[in-house]
Amino acid sequence: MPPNSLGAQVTAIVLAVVIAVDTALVWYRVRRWWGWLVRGTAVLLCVATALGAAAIWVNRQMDLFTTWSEVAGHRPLAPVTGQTTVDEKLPSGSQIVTFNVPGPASGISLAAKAYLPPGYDSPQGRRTHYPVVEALAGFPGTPNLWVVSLHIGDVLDHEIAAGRMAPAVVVFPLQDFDQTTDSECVDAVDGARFDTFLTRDVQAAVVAQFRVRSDRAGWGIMGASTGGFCAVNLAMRHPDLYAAAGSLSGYFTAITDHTTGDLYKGNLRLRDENSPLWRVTHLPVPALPVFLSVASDDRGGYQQLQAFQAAARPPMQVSTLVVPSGGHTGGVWRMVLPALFDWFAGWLAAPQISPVPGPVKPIPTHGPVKQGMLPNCEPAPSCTSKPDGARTARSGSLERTQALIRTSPALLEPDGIGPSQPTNERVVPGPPSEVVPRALRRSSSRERRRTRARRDWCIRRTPPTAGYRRAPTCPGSSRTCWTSGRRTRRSRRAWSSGRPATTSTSSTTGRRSPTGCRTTGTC
Amino acid sequence: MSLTGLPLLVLSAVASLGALAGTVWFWRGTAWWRPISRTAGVLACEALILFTAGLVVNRSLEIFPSWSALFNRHHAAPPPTVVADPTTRLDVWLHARAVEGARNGLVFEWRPGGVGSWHLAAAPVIYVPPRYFTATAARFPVVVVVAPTRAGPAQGAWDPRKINQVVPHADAEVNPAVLVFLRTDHPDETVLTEVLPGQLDEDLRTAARGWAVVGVGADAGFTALARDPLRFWFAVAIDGAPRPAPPDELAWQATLSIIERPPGHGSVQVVARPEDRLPAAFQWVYRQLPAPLAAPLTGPVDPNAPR
Repeated sequence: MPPNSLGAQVTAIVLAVVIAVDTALVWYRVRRWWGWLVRGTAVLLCVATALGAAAIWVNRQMDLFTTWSEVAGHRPLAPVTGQTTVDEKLPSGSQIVTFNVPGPASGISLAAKAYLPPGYDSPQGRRTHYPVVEALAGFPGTPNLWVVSLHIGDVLDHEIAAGRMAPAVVVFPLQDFDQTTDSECVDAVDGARFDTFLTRDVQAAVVAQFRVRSDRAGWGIMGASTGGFCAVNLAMRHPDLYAAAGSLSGYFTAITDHTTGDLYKGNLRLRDENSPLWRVTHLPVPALPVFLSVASDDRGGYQQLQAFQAAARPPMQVSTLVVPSGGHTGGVWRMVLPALFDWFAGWLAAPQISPVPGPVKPIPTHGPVKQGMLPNCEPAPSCTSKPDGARTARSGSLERTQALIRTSPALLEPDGIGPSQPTNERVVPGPPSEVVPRALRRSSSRERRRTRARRDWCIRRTPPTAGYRRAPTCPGSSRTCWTSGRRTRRSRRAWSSGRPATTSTSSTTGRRSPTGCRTTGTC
Repeated sequence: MSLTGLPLLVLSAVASLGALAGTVWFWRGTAWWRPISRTAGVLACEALILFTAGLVVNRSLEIFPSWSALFNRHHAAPPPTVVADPTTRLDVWLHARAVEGARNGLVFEWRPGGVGSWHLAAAPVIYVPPRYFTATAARFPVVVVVAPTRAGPAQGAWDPRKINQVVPHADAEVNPAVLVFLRTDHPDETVLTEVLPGQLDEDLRTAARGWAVVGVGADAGFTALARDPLRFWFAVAIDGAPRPAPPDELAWQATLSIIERPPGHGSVQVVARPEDRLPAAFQWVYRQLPAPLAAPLTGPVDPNAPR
């Protein structure tokens, strides 16, 4: 019974009623010395069950958590880079998959979801490079907003079947580390670099793991609420990467509050540069088509839309769609999504069919971690080997049942012509794929999973907030890391001794681990 | 009473306090109905306090501005604005040649009204791709090819008697587009950007955006980009001399110069033999074009309504 189900809601309400009845019955029944203890406990239970029922109602509205492990604070575990986990197969043949976005540029690594259109795995689909739309949720929010709340798979299937939209891959990355901290999709000063992650890293990961167009003409970005702000801001900041942008109930002025923290560290210029409204009035406007939608009774959003529309000037093209009512809710976005995707289809280049399957591209992995995310030398979790199914079950913590793990098709195709080679460029086929013995492959896969688990401990080095603590520094580094990971016995020993614990490693050669820390030894 | 208004918030707060006071007042006692009143009091207090807290949060964040938004009753949206399936003047004529056209596409001379005033050396020639005959609701992007009267394959243009060899094989492998071949020594910008698109929209199912211009020995393409940037997205200049880069405000519109040597301008340049330049231009343009699409929805859609 997931926490966003009707069953959970009914259970919580029934529990609240039962506790209230029990409180009423037991109040005068217990007259001894422990009576006050029982009454106090009963009152606390009443409050807890009432709050629980309310929290589940809110969660059902926003689909923030779809599994209880997420509620318990466990971060979703992405599949090994290069593999996708099929979450859902729709009747049309389209799929919702989960994949990993390793962030070599930003130092951030998070799971993401993607919609693959019908026919993606067909013989013709294997020769097709699809346009991409990147969809960002609001805050708080996760890809579940699109996949679970808005049923985006059904919307896309319908528009594609109607011929109003060309088949496209839609990507849903995470844009925050957790549901209490709003990144605003910007490169925070001395903090997490989500701008870089959502633009460079996501594009690199998607191009490497899916058959998609890699040129600007084939990429669009959209978002809802905070995601709408992110979409317009990122598209305006990176007009070389996106051909169109869409905003549903978004705003256009950078905000900082208790959920964002001090993102700009007093740098007002940087804050202005992350405000689309300021950019459109003070900087040269990029040639970018923008779709803006809002409900007219969403007063704040409507005022922002009007201000942006009034300030926009050529060559920016602004299309607006105002819904009479609905507020700042998913109901409005559900109504507008078909028109938004139709609009995107008119501005993005068509799927490109190559005579042969696309080339093999190296999947980006964590190289040396750059500024903004220092290597976190938190020791790895216990090295006791987990059964293979454990990772699959953990993968399911992101959302729904994980039915199938498969290798990215990009890895299966040996070579071919890329989607956007200039006409006079010579196409160089990729190197033949290396044949790896099966046993070695299994071992390598296990090591990658361990690496993945260890990387999940590396959270951030932004200023510590509640729940984050200082981590041991890396050898040879005087800079400080912060982590929200729980301490193991080994890490506590390392903590008390003031040196980082020896981490498990995917190699016995002592090379740099994905977190950037030099590692030794094996589990 | 508005969901975000102060009256409802005050009323809810007063009701919460009242429920709390009532629960305390009727708490004591051992009558048979006391457990029931206590239970009702506890549940009423819980519900009202949570409702009040929710009102405070909603008032500050303005998530649900109305009761209809809260209960998701706002989906009585106006019907979506859908442009009816296009019926163009050449539909009947093309329908009679659908079998032939669906196999290889169709090339024909186009004689729209007023073509005599377009300053053309010959009537325009149109190529309609095979998919045009199967995707009957889709509107197609257009590539306009302009060449001097006497330019032939040696100058990067085409042989009028062998135009079938020039047109791309627009099967499922490439993105289909309607091609319009024009011969003129004096390209008229008004004709190219206003008159011709208007006539073509009436005669064929053409898209309103995503057009391209291929200019042989002329920079008509760049001119079209400047005059109608919404319709014309791409331009190719097939020429032996370098062409100036388009102005900055048109930088988003991709341009291609197919020339003999790279001149060092910002636009994309391809070096190719003269006879290969036009196919190279088509190949490049086809990569940039949007797909042929049915008329889009331009309004909100009731997600619960059967479609």
